[in-house]
Amino acid sequence: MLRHLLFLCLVGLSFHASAVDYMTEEQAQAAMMPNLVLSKVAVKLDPAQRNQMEDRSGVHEPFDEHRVWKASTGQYFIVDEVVGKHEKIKYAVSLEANGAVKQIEVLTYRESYGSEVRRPEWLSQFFGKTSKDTLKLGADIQGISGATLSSKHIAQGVKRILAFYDLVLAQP
Amino acid sequence: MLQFRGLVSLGLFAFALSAQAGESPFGWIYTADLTPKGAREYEHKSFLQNGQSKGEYSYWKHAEEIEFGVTDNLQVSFYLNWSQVNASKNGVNGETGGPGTDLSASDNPFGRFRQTRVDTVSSEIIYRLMNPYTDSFGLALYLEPEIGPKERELEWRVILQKNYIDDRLTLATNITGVHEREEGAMELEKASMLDLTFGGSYRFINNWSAGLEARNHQEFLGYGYQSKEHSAWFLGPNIHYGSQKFWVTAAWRHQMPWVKGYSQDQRDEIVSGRIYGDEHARNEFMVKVGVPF
Repeated sequence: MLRHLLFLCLVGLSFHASAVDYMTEEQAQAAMMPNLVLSKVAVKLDPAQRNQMEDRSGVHEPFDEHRVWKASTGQYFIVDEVVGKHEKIKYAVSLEANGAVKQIEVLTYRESYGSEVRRPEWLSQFFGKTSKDTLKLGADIQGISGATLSSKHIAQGVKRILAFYDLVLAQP
Repeated sequence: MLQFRGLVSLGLFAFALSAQAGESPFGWIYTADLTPKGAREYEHKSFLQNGQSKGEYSYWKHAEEIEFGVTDNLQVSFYLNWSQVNASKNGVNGETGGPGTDLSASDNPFGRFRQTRVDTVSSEIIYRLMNPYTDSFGLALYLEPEIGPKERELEWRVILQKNYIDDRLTLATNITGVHEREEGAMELEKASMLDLTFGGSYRFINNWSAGLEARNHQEFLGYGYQSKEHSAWFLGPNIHYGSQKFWVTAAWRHQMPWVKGYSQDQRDEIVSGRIYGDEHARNEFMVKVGVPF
């Protein structure tokens, strides 16, 4: 019995998952904020702000506020991660000075299905969205066939970044 | 033997084709997470019933499956089901028997029974009515007809799923009915069962999930649910690894000493609160491997 179980596990584990890192943070900065000098924004979220971000977005995954940059134009560049089917999905969002989504890039995606979340035509749905939009799958954001979980979590993640802008970055 | 080698070759070939929807973190519980439209997956399942009240007993039921996503809400699979049984003096009365054994009148009732055979082919259809990621909960219906030289079976399920905490925590329950006809060397058996399985699985780090699952099993005589024979409980842990290329799930269920027998025949198969006979063992193990291609 044990030999049989071991054989099956070894056969299964002999297939190695290959990580797909499409862009580094630096490459994303260069592509999404060309010719702009970015400086890191020093932010420390308090528990109440974190709770509000979670309530507005539904995302429980901890938000790392140390990955926020600002350009001299007032635009922001933010890197975040959400839960994928098996691993985290890392993505970058740039915001206009008024807090509207300027651009999104998926930096890391390591799932069997749904790499379409990287497609510009899907990501472009988010452009211009602000914290006032719901960013709800099936409402103002269309999901991706075969990648419902990934597209839902990215939409919620962008919603969280917009909540972060509203609660923290937009405050005087 | 040739038949067995052929099956192993088929399994290895399918592995070589190079895993994920139909992917479940549970050993026995189905979820409403289906193979997407246009996607295919090869899956191998090995289910082991091990140990009865005494003697030696192990019964492996293997399935080689090809799964297709017809639409995002309709998944179809085809199975080849084969088994291996090895039993010796394992019955409550010291005779050889148990699930998967089929002794004829000329066999020594106290001898060893060992057999590898292809049992059946089956087809599984799952239709999803509600998506656990976008609706308030997941709901799917399942139907699996199975046919072989000595067996015919119809299995149906109602699959319910609810996710929490960024879909890291999956709670699922299945209501399963089975109606079977099995022709043995000495008798023809017609039976039905009604199972309630439920459990939870939590993804504690990237790729890895673990949880618990439980099964309440009720067995009936004939094709209906009028004549109940026994009720038994099984409980145990599961662990799941899933990645871009493949997934593996392993689970164990232990028969809890809470059985109820509803006839003298059934009560005769109960030892220390657990039932054995032609249906059950002390422990059940499941290993599943899935590879999308």
